[in-house]
Amino acid sequence: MTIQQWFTFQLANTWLAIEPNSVVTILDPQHYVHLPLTPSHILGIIPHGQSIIPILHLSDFLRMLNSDILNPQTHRVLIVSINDMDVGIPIQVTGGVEIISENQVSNQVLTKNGRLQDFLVGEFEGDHGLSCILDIGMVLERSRV
Amino acid sequence: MSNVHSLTCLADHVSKVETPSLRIFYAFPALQIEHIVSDVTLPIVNPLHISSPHELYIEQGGRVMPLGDEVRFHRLEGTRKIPDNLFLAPWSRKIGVMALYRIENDVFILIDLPTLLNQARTDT
Repeated sequence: MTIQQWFTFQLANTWLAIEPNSVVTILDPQHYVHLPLTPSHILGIIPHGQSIIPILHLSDFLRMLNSDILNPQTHRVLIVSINDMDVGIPIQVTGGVEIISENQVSNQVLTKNGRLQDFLVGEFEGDHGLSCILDIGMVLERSRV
Repeated sequence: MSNVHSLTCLADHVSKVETPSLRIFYAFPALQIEHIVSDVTLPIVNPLHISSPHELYIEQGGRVMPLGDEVRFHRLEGTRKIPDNLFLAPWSRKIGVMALYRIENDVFILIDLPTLLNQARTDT
């Protein structure tokens, strides 16, 4: 039996799953500094090590229902790194890494929530109920500013 | 293009919080600046949306652009550059970001002035 590992987190009351190796760390709530001439889904930047990390308001970018329940200033920040793009994403809750068998994953996406469906590659029933597998690389590529 | 001397000013929409946070400064290569003026007779462009009391302006190409607070010349040569983050690459190209530097909690965004002002012309 082939197993898969997914890092899960909740965003706007929806559980999402991404590849664990794209996760760098999770930070406590941060103060963001606005970056000039950027769209509304870019909340600002934060210091991280000797670098800076732009902060993506993911649920706003995806136009998800309940996006407004997330207060980016008071939620923890998931730092992801893909293809030399390092980005912070405020999230509601982390679910940790879930290990599931391959046959639990459905490639048929039934979830509809704003533009979320455009970035989903599958779904599975896991520890937190239904989790949507997010192509985080495509999200970062499309939300680049 | 030399960036040995750059004119820097505080990005004024940054709240001056007393937490360990960042302050952002805009920086412009000194060689690109024709004049720094306080009396304005030329058309004003404000692509960075600086809203602090406008006391000093950069004159360039028949236009002036307001500067924020804490205007000073700064030597960025030898300052550690922040590594490129491809997520910000389109934004950098759009407004002419040449490099980002960081000194402790101060981030300097070095901007190519003609690119920025051309962008302002496009946006308006």
